[in-house]
Amino acid sequence: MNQGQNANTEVDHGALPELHQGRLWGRRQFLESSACGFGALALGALLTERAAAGSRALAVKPPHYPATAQRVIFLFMQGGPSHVDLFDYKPLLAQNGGKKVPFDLPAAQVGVGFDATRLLAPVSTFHPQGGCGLLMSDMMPELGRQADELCVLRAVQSDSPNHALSTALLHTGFMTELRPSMGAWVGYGLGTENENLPAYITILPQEGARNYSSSFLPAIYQGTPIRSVGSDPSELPIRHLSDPEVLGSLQRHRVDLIQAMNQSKLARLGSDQEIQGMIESFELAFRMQTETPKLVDISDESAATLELYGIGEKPTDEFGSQCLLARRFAEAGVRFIQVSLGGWDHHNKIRSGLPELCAKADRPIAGLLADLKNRGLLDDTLVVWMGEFGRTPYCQDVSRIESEVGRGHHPQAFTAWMAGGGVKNGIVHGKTDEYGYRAVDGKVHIHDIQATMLHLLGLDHEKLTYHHAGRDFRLTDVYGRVVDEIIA
Amino acid sequence: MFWLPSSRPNSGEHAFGGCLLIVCFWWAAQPLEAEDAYDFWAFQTPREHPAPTVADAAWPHTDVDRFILRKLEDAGIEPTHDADRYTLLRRVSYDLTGLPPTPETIQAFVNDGSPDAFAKVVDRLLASPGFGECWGRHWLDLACYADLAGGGGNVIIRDAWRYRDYVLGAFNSDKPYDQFIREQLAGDLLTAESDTERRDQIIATGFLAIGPWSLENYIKGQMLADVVDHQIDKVGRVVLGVSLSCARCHDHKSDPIPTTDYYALAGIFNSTLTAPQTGPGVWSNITKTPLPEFPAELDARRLATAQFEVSIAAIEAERKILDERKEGLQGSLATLTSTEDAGGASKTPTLPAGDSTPGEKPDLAEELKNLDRQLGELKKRQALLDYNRPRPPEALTVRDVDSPADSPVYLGGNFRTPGDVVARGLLTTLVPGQRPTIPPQRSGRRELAAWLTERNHPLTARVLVNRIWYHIFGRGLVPSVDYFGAHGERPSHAQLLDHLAVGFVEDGWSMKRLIRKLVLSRVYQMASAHNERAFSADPERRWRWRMERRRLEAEAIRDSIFFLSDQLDRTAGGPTLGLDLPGYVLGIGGDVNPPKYGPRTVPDEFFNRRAVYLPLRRERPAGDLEILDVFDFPHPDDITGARSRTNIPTQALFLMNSPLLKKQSRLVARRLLAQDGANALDDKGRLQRLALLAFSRPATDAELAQALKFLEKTEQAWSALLEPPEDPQHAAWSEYCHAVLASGEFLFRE
Repeated sequence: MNQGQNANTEVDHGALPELHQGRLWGRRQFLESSACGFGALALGALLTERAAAGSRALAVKPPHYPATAQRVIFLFMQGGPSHVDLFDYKPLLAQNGGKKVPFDLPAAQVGVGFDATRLLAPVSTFHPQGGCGLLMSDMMPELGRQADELCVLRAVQSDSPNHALSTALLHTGFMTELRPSMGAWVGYGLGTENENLPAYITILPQEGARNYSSSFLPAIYQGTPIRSVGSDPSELPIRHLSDPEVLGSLQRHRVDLIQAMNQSKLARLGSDQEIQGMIESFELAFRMQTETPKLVDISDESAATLELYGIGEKPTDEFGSQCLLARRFAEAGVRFIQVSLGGWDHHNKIRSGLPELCAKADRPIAGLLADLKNRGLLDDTLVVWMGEFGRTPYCQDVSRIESEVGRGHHPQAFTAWMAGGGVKNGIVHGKTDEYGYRAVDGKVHIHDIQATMLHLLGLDHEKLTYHHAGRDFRLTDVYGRVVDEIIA
Repeated sequence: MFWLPSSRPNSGEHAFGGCLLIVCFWWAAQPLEAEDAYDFWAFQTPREHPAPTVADAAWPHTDVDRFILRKLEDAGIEPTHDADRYTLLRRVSYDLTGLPPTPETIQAFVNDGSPDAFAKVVDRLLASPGFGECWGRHWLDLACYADLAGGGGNVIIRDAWRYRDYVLGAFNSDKPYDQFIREQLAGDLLTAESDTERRDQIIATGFLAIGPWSLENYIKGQMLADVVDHQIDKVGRVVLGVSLSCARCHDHKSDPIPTTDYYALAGIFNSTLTAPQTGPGVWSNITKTPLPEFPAELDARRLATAQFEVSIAAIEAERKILDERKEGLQGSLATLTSTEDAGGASKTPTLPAGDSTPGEKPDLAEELKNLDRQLGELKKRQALLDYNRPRPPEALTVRDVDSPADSPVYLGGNFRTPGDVVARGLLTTLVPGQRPTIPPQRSGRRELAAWLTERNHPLTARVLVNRIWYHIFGRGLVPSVDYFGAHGERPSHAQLLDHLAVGFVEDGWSMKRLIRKLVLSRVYQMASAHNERAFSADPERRWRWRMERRRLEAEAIRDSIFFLSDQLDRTAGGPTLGLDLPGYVLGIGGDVNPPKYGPRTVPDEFFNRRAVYLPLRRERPAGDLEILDVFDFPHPDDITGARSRTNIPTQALFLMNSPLLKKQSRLVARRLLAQDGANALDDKGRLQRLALLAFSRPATDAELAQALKFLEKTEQAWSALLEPPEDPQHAAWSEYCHAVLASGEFLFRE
């Protein structure tokens, strides 16, 4: 385009919509009424289904090899759920509760007052569940009914007993340096199936922002946090998703004025990727603005579905809504959905705290599995449940009062489970020692879980690299082994 | 592939560790043969190159132009036309100070017909405090600066700001770059001629002391190894433009950096005290060093101490009164209770419960609760006062340990598997030349700093010159600004880079004079206009046929919005955490954990400051600083030579709907509509002023007509609403101003 054309593309800021019903501008009416003015330009951009600059990066990309999972729902149990009370029953621990710790501990772990530490017997009873007879805690009866869907990993390992470091390792493959998170890697590797939504969504994140950052990957891959679920309509699900003081059509009016200015600038420049990209990203933003509220509004779900998740009932309502949203985003084509539940850090009062938390979590999680299965989504959706570490078989010396005791952080061995997405179901992989302290067999490091997850998505974790600062980076660093034993 | 013969690993064996290399990938890409390593361009001492001859001798203003034009001519591309004066002034104002020009300076420059009109503008900008605020921030991106420390990004370290102010001041005073580097790596080991210089030197080591430390990591061996690794990485990437960290676990796969060289450096930083574990608990603390106190500071501190003592005494007196009243009340309550006891009630003087209690008792209990609350408040006030007790100035620093020692090689980068000890030393094979020897009683930081700033060091000047070029022209001559190694990108204009690097050192390592030289070139003054012919010949603009168009950096966006709304507070420097404000310091007097910083809000008195002064947590900016995060402000843990410049829907949502934009739009409208006597403007005048403020150019007639129509219609429409806004004129103007603030023209510089 040359200078001479500018005159023809000058915008008409004066073209204004007529008042509609005394209060609102109708969007179509507005655009029609201004068809010869700047509205025409804006409309042109609107009708163009050309993906935005951002969404080009989000276009679906082929995997390295055929995938068994199309997406991941990552259930992050922040704080470190106690494996010895939930999934890893140890008769010897049950017998010896209250006795001195019979095994040696590394010096680094022996703190002041450690001498007084005693073994803590499981605070839950256990029974075999499902056809596979998975031995698990009675605190999770609903999940017990889904036992045949689970692939339980009993010898998972992390590298640090520190929440922040281990959480970062779990989410980014690194403990101390800032690195892209798993969801960002997945978005980068595969793109998204829905151009109106981000590829990576994290629902009520409990982890710090570094754990869903894109770091040096393009920012379009960073996790978009969903900040509120269900009950409070004044809270926007995505930051700044709309202007609560302005009604929908007026908002369109604001966008159109901005777009008109940008179109006018673009016309003056002749050609410019960046201004063009800006125009497109305003359009994607506007689509998100219309798409997301529909997605997070669960009023169209059947009573049976709500009941499945325990929505509308006391302890399960909030987490149930989160899990239901995860299914809705999965259905809508989002690649990586994280749902977080905090509160597993039971340093004390584990006897009352753990059952309370299980009561909140059990039905929603079991409901999610059942719902995914009913809809045929479980086959190609990988569900992963885990915390950043487990908990010690001995109690922390915080109190002598039986009702107050709890357990410390334990990265050496803990339990995670997966379901769907091409993993074997109804199996247990890995084994800890007789106290649930050390991993003795089938060890699976956090890096291995990441490698396996990418593998199921059709991505080779050694080939999914990004060139930055003169080197090629990987989610799994130089580590990671695909756990073939658990792949169906 | 470059391997040191002595350290070549067994073939087929991966060297594992934290460095993320994919071995097979490296084998495939442009290997450097061992004998070629010293031939690699970046590791050669730069040589002066005379400016090339050009066909169009009239075009160049400076030698820089000749280098650029020659390559363009060789490629058969014509440079684009010059930018107009409005565009040029906006460009240079943002590039040098991060702020737009004022309407007055725009008029003055446009009307200045003298041949040195632009040079005068440049000199004024270089001399303004805004220069250091803008360019100092570029350096803080590299230094991983934050006002708070690890542990959730909010552990309070009081004195980080001194390092920030040191950096800004160094740019403003044009501290020679070699001295700037020496001070930051080894200021504590240098000699000083004055207290002022001594203070600068001590504070400067904040470069090494402030970083992404996991202070709470109780595996101290790991923490120490990570701190040292970060310091080595910082020196490598910031000063040398190479990734030394790779060699933590294995010999560098592509650059001549064996593992032994890494651990020779590790010995230097292991002999440097950064964050020792000092208290009970697991926490480490960043090393602090007292600063020489200026007489004026001492006077002020004495005065403050006297005031502090008065305040504390007042609180204690108040506490005493309340304590006495409490005792009295407790006495009365006990009497009441014991009277009841006779009737068989509980012996413990617990809070009375139930309706059987006589009326007097709940009143007393209520009053007691009230007293306790007041006492609690007083205690908190006292603790906060005490926390902020006047103290002599100190800085976050490093210093040499008492007994410097060599470090073992950590096999596979794991501190638990030490191998052979390596003598402290400087990279033996990266570049040719002699190395200073490190005396046994010293860490070696001083020798490291001296070697890095040798006049003929192949990397130091080149890397810095390239960084400056990047900030001015939007893309480095070497595009990978933090990495000059074998797998980085090659310079587009190698001779120009050398010419600038040699000239930079000869000119006393002056960054300001280098910047001046670059912006006075004709290359800098080109328009950013598209040109189809040039574009088809060179779509990536490698040969620089036009100026790069750039979105403003996050701080410039925030500062410009506040500039438009006339809210910008130009107060410079000093602490901005507001640690004396209630609610900002949490957990004072905790027995194990250090106090943490409270909210993600910026204290009111600092809210309108330039963004560079706002308190940074060690995390992605959030809360009041969200705008920085939205527009690609780097994570403080990252060494960032080149920020991302993304274009994502999150930004559009923020621009359309955030309370910050809405509030500021209303303030801009308010400012334009203000009727202050002689300055009162009509609508056209207001729109002209808005265009000058926001776009640094006058509005065109067509724009004026359209805007007027928009305002008129919008105002009418809103007046006719069932619930009209209080001031429809202001509402219409706010809407228009909002669109301006969200528009591409405002957010970009041409």
